Amino acid sequence: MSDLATPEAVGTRGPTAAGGVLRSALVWVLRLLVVTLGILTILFFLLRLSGDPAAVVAGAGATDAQVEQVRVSLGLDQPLLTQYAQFLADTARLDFGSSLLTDQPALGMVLDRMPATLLLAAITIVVSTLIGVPLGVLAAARHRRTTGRLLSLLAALLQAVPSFLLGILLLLVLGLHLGWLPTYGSGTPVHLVLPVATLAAITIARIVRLTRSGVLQALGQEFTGAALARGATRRRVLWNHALRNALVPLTAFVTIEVAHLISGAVIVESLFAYDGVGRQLVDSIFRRDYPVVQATVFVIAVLVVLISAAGDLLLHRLDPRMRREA
Amino acid sequence: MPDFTPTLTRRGLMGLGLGAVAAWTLASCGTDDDGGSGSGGGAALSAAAITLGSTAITSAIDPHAATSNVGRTYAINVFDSLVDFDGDGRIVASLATDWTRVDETTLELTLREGVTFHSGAAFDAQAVKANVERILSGDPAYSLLVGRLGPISKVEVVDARTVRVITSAPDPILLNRLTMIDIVDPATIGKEVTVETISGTGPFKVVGYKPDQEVRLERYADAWQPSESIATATLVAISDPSSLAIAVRAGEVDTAFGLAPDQVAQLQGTLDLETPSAGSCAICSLIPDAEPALADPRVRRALNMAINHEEFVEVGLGGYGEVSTGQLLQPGYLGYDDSLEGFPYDPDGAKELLAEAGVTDLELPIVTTAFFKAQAEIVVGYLEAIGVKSRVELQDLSAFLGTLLSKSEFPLVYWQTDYFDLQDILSVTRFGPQQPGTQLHFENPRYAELYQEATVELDDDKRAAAIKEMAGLLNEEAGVLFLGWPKLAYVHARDVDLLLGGESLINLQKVVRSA
Repeated sequence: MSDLATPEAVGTRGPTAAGGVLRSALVWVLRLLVVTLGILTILFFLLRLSGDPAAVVAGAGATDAQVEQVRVSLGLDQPLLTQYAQFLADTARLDFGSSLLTDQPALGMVLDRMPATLLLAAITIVVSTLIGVPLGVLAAARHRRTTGRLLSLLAALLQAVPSFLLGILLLLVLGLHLGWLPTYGSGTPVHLVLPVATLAAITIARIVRLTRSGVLQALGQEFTGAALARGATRRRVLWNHALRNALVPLTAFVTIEVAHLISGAVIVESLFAYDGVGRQLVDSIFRRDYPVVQATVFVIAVLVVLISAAGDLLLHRLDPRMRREA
Repeated sequence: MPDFTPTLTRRGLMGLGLGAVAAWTLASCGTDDDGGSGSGGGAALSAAAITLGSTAITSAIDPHAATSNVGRTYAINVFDSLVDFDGDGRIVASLATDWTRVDETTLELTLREGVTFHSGAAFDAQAVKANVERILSGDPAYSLLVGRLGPISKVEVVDARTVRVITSAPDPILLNRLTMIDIVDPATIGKEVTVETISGTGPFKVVGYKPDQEVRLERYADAWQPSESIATATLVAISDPSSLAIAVRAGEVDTAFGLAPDQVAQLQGTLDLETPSAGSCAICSLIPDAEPALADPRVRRALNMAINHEEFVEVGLGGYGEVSTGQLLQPGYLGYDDSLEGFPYDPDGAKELLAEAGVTDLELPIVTTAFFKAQAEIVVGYLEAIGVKSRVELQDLSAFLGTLLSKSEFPLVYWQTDYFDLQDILSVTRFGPQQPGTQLHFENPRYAELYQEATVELDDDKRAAAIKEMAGLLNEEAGVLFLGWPKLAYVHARDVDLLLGGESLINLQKVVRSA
C-alpha cells in the first residue's frame, strides 16, 4: 500500500498506473451504463406487463371513456416500443416524468427521500462494523472457549431471524412494553434506533462470522507465528497482523452490504413507517406509479454501481495482489 | 373510503358506481338554518391533540385530485361541501342552508353567510361555480370525481348567496352528489397546490404534509363550525398493519383504521371500538358468459344455498359484518325491502338443485385481488362442499378492475360493491345497463329498466318502489352470491369520544378528547 503513496513509486510507474486508473474508470462507467440500462429495461417491460395504470389512476368508478382519456394523457396508448424509446430518451435527460398520483417530479420525490435512506444505511454499516469486527476478533481469539462458541452461535441465530420478525419483536419490547422508543416515524435520532437495530442485527452477524474466519485463517499462517516468535504480543498479532489480513474480504463485504442496505431497506422502512425510498418504492409499486418506481430503481441502481466501484477502488488500495493484476 | 380504510383498495375498488338516497324529499325542503352542530365558536376551546393512524392517507392535499376514496377523512375535516350526510344518511345543510328544486333539472341553493376560507377570503356563489367548473374542465386529474357527479353540467350564479346547479337530465340524487364536492378556495385554482396555498372552509387547516406519510392539521378558529375539543390532529400512514397495531397499543396513535380483525380483537381489551357499517355488500358476481350453467336460476340458487352466511361473517369478515337479507342495500337505505329473506344454508338442498338442473362436474374458479383472498377461499370451501370444483385466481388490482368492469374469463368474481359514498343503489352500476360489449353480471332486462327508471325518477315513493322491485328480482333470480354486509372497525383510545359522521368517517370537529 505504501509503495503507491511514495513519489518514487508514482514516478516509476506513472504512465502505467495512470493508464490502469483510466481503464478502470472506463470499465466502471460502462458497467454503470450497462447495469442501469439493463435494470431499467427489465423494469419498464415488467411494470407494463403487470397491469394497466390508467385503470388504477382513473379509479374504479371511471367509465371506459374516462379510463381511455387517462391512458392517452399518460401516453399509454402508444405502442410499447414507442413508449420504451421515449422512456430511454427521457431517462437520458434524467426526466422520469411526474408521479401519476401527486403530479410532482418523480426524480425529485426520490431524491427528497434518499438522504433518509442513506443515513439509515450509513449508520447501520458504521454501527455494525464497530460492533461486528471486535466481536469477530474476540470470537476468533477464543474460538475454543465458551465465549467464542457463544458468539458464533449468536451470530448464526441473528442471521437466521428474518428482518421483519426481529423488527416486530423490537417494536413490541422496546417500543410497546418498555416504551423507550417511538414505534414509527422518522426525523429525529431516536426514530433511527429501531430501524438501525433491525438492519444491523443481520449485518453484525455476518461481519462477526467473516471477521472470525478471516482472523482464524490468518492466525494459522506462518507470518503470525513469525510475528509471535519476534516477540510481538498476542494482542498485537491479533489486531495488527491477523485482522489486517482479514480486512480485504471484510472490505469487499461491507461494500456489498452498503449497497444491499440501500436497496434492501424496503421491509424495515415499511415496518417502521420510516421516511425513505424503500417505503416509497413499495407504495409506488402497489399504486402502479410507474414514474416514481422507475426513478427510484434508477437512483438505487446508480448508487449501487457507484458504491461497488468505490469498493473496488478501496480493495485496490488494500490488496497488492489486485494492483499487480491490474 | 378515506384515509381510514384498508379498504383503500376495498372502497376504491368497490365504489363502483353512483348512488342515491331517500334524502331527496328531505333535501328538496332544505334545512337547518344555523349550521347543524356548529357552536359558532362561543364555547371555550380546548387544546387537545389527536393522532389518527391508518394504512394509507390521501394521495393529494387537493381534494379534487385525490385518486381514491382514501383521503376522505382528510377532506371532510379541511373542506366543506354544500350539503352533507348526517350519521343516519340524511342530507343536512352545510355550506348551503336551503335548497329548492326550480324544475326537473335545476336546483337552487342558498349559501351560508359569514363563511371564510382558511386564507381569509369569503365564501360565495362564485366559489361554488369555480369549483364545479374546475372539476368539469376535462382535466384527467379530476376524472374520479367527475364520474361521481353524474349529470351535473354547470353552475349558474344568481347572486352572491345563491347558485343554481344545472343537470343534463333529472337527477334524484343530485344532493347526494353534491356531498362529494369539497369546496376549495377559488384563489388556489390554477395554481400549484401546496400546504401554504391549500385552503378550505372546514374546521381544520393544513399545516404540514408529507406525501404518503402524514398530514398535520390545526384548528381553524374562524370556521363556521369550529372544533371545540381537538386543536391539532395528525393523520399518519403506517402501511404495515402490525406496526399500526403496535403504535396504537403504545399510545402513539389514538385512533386506528385498517387493522385486521384479529388485531382489532386483541386491542379491544385496552381500547374502545366503533364498528359502523361499511355501506357495502360482499358478493360474488355470477357470470353466465364465462360459464353457461350459471344462466340457470336453479344453479345460482344452489350456490347461494351452499353459503353458511353466519359463518362467513364470523370468519370471512372477522365478525365485523352482518348477514345480508338477500339484497345489496341495508336497512335505512331508500328501497330496502324488509320482506326479503336471505338464502338458507342448505348444502343438501343445494346438491339436489344442481342434480335437478342436470349439472355435473361444474368448475367455478373465483377471481379476485389479494386483498380478498381469504374471503374468496372460504367461498371455495362452501362450493366444494356441494361438489363444485373451485379455486381462487388472484389478479393485480389494475387487471382485476378490467375483469370486473369489462370482461371476466372466470365465472365467479369476488368483490364488495360499495354504496357508502352516494348512499344509494345508483352507486351499484355494475348490475345496471352496460355499454355495448361490456359483460353483463346480471342478465335481466327488467332490472336494467328499473335501474334506468331510478336514475331519473324524482318521486321518492316511486323510486323506492322501483328499487325494491330491483332487489326482489335480484333475490328471486339469485342473481349474485350474497355473502354479507361488512362493517368498519375503528379502535381508539378510551379518552377519545369518537363520533362518526356520515359515510362512517371521523369528523374531528365532533370528536371530544378528555383532558
